[in-house]
Amino acid sequence: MQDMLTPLVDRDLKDMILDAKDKGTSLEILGHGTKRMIGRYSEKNAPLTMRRFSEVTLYEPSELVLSARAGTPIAEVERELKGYGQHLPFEYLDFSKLFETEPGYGTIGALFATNFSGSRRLLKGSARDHLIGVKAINGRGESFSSGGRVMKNVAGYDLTKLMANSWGTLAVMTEVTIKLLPTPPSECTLFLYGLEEDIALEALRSAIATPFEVSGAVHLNRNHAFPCLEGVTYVQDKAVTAIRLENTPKSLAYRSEKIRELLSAFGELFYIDEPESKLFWQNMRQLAFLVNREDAIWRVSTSPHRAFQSARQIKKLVDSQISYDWGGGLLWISTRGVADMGSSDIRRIIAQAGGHATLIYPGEDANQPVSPFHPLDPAHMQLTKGLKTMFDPAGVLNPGRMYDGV
Amino acid sequence: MGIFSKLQEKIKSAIPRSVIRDLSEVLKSEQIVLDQAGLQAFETDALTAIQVLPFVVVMPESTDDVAAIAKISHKYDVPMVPRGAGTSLAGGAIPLSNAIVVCLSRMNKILDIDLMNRSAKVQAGVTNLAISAAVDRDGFFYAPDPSSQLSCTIAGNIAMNSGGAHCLKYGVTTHNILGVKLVTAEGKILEFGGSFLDPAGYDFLSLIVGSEGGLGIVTEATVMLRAKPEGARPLLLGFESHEQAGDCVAAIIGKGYLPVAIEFMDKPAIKACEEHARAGYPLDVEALLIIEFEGADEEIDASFQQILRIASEFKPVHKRIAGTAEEAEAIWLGRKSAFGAIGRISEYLCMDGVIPLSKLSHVLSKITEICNSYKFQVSNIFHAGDGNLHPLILYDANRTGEFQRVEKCGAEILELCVMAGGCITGEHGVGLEKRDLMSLQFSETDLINQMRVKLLFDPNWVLNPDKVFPLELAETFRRDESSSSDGETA
Repeated sequence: MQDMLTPLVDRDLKDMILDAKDKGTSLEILGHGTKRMIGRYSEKNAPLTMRRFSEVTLYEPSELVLSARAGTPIAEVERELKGYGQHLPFEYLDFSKLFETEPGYGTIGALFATNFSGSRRLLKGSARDHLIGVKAINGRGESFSSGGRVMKNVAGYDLTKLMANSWGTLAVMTEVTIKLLPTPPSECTLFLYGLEEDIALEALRSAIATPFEVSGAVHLNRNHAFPCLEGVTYVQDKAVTAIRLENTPKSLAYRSEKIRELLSAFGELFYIDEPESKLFWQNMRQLAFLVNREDAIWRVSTSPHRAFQSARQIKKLVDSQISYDWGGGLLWISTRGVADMGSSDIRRIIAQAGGHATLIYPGEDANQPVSPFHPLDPAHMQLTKGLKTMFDPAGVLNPGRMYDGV
Repeated sequence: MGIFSKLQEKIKSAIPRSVIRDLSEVLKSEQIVLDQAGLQAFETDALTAIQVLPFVVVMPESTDDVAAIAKISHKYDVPMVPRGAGTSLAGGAIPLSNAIVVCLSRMNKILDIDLMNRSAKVQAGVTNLAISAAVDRDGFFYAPDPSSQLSCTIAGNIAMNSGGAHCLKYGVTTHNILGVKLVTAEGKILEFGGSFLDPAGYDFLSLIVGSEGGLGIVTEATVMLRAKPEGARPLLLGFESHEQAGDCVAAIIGKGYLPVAIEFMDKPAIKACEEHARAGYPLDVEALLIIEFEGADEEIDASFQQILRIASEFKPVHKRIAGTAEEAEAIWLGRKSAFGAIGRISEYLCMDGVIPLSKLSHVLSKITEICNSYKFQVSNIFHAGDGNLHPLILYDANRTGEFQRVEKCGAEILELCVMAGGCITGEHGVGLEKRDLMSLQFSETDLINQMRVKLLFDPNWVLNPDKVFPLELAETFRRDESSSSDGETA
């Protein structure tokens, strides 16, 4: 086990990068390491944690903007926001249950570097969408910044959003600036139980197409549903279709009634109020439905239109459980006892439908290496390698974390 | 040195006639504009003070046409200037005299509307408003709404990452594009994203949106559609000072209300708009806010009551709620015709700086000071919710040297925005207009990191080559890069 590098200021980080570059070695860029299980791992990379870069440097509630050094715990950022009734609207995923890590950990920089947005992404956009400024040091040891503290900024190329989902392979973010939103004053969820998948997706689509700003639209199969329904009244041991609304209590009463009328033909709708509604969506965000250690877990972004057909094809070929978020645009697939975790079938079917599949966790019994990130076609791989070379020509930063040779 | 004289310097030797011959082999004759009168229609965009007669304009009708044109550009190393409807206020579509202008206006088909997927696939020359119009009956719309939305194209919106009055709630172009088809400088056709969220791998879409035609020519786009609200109505609030209006906006947002739009106008802007559009704006206030909410009637009224309660602390002297759709339309007509209204009074240079809201009253008084020192009048229109200022500096285009003076005045204003913690452009883009001001906001290293991205996509620097980056810095960068790669080869 190599010693962990722990830079405190930009100068330290720059020296460590340049030192690695000179010596021809490479670094594994970490925050708290809560997502270290995801993606590729190379033991050649010397671990470096940004956790000492920890400080909220700017918070202007009336401008909906916050800046923090990249290693600031997300929990600390959220504590600040709570005091002003604001939040990170993209409902980032919390993998602590899945990976059995300490809950409440994770840094703000890694949150953006990995860009895992949760159910509210459907209405409010992704983590990437809310990243408005970065300061970073690239693999050449150059400090650069992009964007800033104002939420509209189209000067030059948007290197800010490029940092999202780049997994620390292009540059190490040292500070991020985030666009915030006011926390909705209240929420409720409507449940439908026992719908067939295609019917459930139709119900979700109908709800999302209304003007009532549906901020969560999921369908969990029976096995996935049960762990998420802990603490919820009216539980039935069936698949659950859930539709969330967030607004003032008066608007919720009006809007939920409208949706109830619209969806009445789909079955009985159960109105779930706070705090149970919040509990359900917290379970979703913590992936409570994916806790079986034997299962391999896939997260698949695809066209909602084709989601059901794709899921049906996958289930025919792979022993799997499938649930839907984003009104069908996101599939969570757990597979068990399949040689390649279902990789070749899932990826072929999703590629045909449009989209990509990420292997979040290969399962305890995984015995065959599978690329965690969806393989790129040659033209995109060439550009990807080209971009990597522009930012990190010597391959110092997280080489191989996303793809071989990147 | 002004932009125009720098442009003149850039003009190189004439394009070989064989370029035209090759273009004629891949395009129909009516797709090629060569005659003087025809070319004049393309000599400028909405930055009308600068005009450059292009060498040739081509009007592709398909992605394959664009790819064929790009291959010819690549073969002869001739620059290309992509163009949508030519509504750029930053000079993003102003030609080079030695370039092929690639005008996408004939690529205006909506290819597929997928309501189940809440997306539409369009050719890039389709106008912004045509998309919303096509899905209006089904209860959907495309959200970014630049003032020029009747004529501007999605290609141009993508190039400049355009915004609009309603992006406080819905975001700008980059938040509303799911995928693009792009023709590279070498004529290859690549697709990024698709009809799903959050593409795999590096976020190339984030680079392409806002790259001002410098990375490739976008020929098709898949855009996100959103469900239309039940209704939308604005509230007008007039104040005796800019400060009160600014503080009121900060209080509204700070207390957890996020209207779909908050627009700010100062006295000269109010007067011009009222004379032009008769929107019922009060003429005896220093600052006017248009605050719009969406929802059912009762929901909008409830929001208005909350806003009026918050606003009372800042003593508005004029309060008016739009009670009907017609009243709402009249209020917006005033705001949306603001540029035209002021254009009737005088030529103007429209700035696009962004500032932190907390600096509003300081910045506005400084803007007045700067403009006074040049003896220019100024009207301020402002997307207040997100700090995007549009000072319109009025000048006399017929007076020699006035444009250079107004450019200088504008540069001082943008410097002020950067010093206040903001940026030089919030939604119009850099183009030619602000190319040399990029150094106000970015360090040389920042810009080099951006230019490396261009070099990756456009190794010969032929795509809209004179835009976005300061010319001298770009030239030095390219020289250094080419000598270092020569070194590597050797």
